Amino acid sequence: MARNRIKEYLLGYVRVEVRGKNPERLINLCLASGFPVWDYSSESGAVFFSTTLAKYKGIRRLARKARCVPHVVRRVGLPFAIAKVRKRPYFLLAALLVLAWLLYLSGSVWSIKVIGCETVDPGRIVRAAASAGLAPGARKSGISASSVETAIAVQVPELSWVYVRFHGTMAVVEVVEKSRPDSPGPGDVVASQDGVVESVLVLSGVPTVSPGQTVKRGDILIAGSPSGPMPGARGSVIAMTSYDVRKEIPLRQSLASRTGRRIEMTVLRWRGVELTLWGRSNAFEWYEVEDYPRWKAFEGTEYTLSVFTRVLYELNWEEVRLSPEEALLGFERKVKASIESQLPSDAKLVDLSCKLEAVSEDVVLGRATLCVLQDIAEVRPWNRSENGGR
Amino acid sequence: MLRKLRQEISEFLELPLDVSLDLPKVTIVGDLGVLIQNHRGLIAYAPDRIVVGVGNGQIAVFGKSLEIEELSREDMIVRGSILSVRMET
Repeated sequence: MARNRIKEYLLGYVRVEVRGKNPERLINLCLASGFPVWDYSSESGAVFFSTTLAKYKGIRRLARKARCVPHVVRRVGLPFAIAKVRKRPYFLLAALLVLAWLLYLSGSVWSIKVIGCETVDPGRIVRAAASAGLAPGARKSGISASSVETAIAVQVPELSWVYVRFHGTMAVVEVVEKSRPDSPGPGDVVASQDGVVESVLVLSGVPTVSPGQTVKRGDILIAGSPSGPMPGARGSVIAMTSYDVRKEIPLRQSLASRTGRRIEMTVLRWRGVELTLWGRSNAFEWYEVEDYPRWKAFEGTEYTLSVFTRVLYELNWEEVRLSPEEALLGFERKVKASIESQLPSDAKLVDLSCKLEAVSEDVVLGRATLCVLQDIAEVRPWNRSENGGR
Repeated sequence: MLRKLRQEISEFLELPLDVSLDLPKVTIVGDLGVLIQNHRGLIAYAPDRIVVGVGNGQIAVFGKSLEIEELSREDMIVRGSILSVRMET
């Protein structure tokens, strides 16, 4: 007995108000005649129900029999909407004109967005695109994306890749700039650090060191030759290097710990401005903040709208006195974290040893010795006189 | 006597009793609505009480803000805050 609301709307229905002594009799007469009735309710002495437009005339006849007075209070559905529009032809015409105008405008380019520029001026790319017909106001159907891409690639040689696409009325030009590795002029490969050579890989030039040999910073590792198809030395030299780190560690330290109390709030952020939608305001003196994103719109544009949950965790500061051994452990942890963030990606930490060098009442002196396996090869270009001399 | 015989035949043939004995069938959806099938017409309507005729008596639905959402020759869906449904024979 599922109602078909779409069919009801398409065929049209009326909301009828019935006043009389026995409206239930009218309903039963309707049911006996097979007239559909729905949304039956009563209000201030009258009953209301809905029925189809086609059956309403028949209901008037039945109402006389039940001694009730029916009265249409609302007309709903497509037939009534069409009748309303037919009475207002200029309204329909204006709506169609607005629709046609919107369709026309949506076929034009309103703005151009350039993505991927780092060193190249986006204005140059926009001007190059304009020379191929892509400019604000141009019709999208008259623009060939491939010819715009070619024109930009030819006029801006610093780009290695260009892609043009349309996002609604916005033309998006995505570019990738050419990247040239910083290669100094031809020269020798020298050691950038002191160390013990583990392996030597020569791409060009003559190796002057061998595995097991100790080298100092600035020593020539691979000598380049000024003549030949590839002048200058190239290669990599992996060596074991060592570093010394000394640091004073105070034994009295203030440590923060979470108390377990927290405040949650929902925040809306748009263009750097934040608005707290709901949740308590901050009531803690010391706290840590963590944000959990919930929803984002217009992502990737400067108009990104985001809603996130911000949780403030209350902190409690405690004065603690560390033993020298605890201070040394904390020092080791800090050195490890610092080394991992500072070492080059191809370097590998082989050994780390920490020890205390001096202990006083309030402070200790920690010393960390690190052994790192890393590429110490560095090209030192020949200067003109040296090059000429070689 | 005839009713008893029809019931026994229905049970023997494993037929649904509401169909073979022409009985009303009431389905209650939580406290949100009541579906009454095989009714005989509306007897009384008020927002706190709806009385419907059935074959051998009446079914009264009590509640608050009661409305008849759909009404056809056999089925009736009552919506609102249902408090109780009573069969009166």
